Amino acid sequence: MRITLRYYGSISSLTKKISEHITIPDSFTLQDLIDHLTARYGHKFKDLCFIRPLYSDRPYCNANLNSRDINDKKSYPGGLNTALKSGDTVSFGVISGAA
Amino acid sequence: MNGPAKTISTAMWQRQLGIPGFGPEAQQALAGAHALILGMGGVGCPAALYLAAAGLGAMTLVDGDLVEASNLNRQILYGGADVGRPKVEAAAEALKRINTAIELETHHFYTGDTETERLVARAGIVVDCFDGNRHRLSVNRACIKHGKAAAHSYVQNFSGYVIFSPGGGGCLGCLVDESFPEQGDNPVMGVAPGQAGVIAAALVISHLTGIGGISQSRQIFFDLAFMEWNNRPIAREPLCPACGRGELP
Repeated sequence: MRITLRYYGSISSLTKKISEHITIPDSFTLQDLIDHLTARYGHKFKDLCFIRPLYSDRPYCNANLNSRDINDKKSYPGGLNTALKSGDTVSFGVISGAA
Repeated sequence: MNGPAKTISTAMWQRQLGIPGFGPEAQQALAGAHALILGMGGVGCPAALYLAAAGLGAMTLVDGDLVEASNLNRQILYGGADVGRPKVEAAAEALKRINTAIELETHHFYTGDTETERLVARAGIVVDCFDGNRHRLSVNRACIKHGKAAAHSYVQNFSGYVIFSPGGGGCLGCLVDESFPEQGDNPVMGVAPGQAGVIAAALVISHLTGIGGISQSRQIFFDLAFMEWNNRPIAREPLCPACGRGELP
């Protein structure tokens, strides 16, 4: 199935893209997608997906699925185990950049 | 510096005085306000421009840089003839052309933590347009310590984030620390810092006047390439060194 990916801040610096369309297996979850993109772009991709302040011990993923925060348990009770669907847009972004 | 209450030129602000709920009292609140603009780059320029145009009474502008040709795609207070001039000097001239009544104080230097805190303590509200998380987090700590609302910004490519902390909820330190990646000379389309500056100015106006407004801290994201936005609350991080249980340095 085809999905759309968007990259922001430091993640776009790593991927050297702001967006792309990719084809993934029908059974892919968000975690599978992150593993797939880590294989493509290197371990820094995963590091940036999960970066949090060093004093934070809250699990967090810097990703949105169809414009909604994947960490929002009301929208996505399965979190990273949420199954992706054809036509989904997944955004990865880290708060970064100049001013 | 406290912004002086001035006689309002109703002709200049006629169109905004017609906004339902925004009357002479709101205009007077702006005229009596003082904003600290830290960094007069791609975000600081539009933020200052719209605040001056809205009728803010006073602003302190801080930037140690000179205008460079590479600034001109986004730093909209400057033109080609300003290249080589201190940004704060060129910005003050441009802002005075828009609002002759505005009271401006300029600082052509890079602030350290002590100077930043001194300036924050004197301001009514802070627009943090500094680059670098070390500087932003220093501003954030000073704002929390002195109880000042602040807007912090990040832009890259066509997108950006504005982090607004009016005093309730979390703060910038709940979202980032100095371990977060940074790079110099981020690629950026001028509309992205323009948008961040407009958002920051709007947050300041709504906070000062009580029109709309956000009482809890928010993380506002925009993507101008695909026209996507979101606006979400910032959860307080228990060990945040600025607003949580962590110790202030």
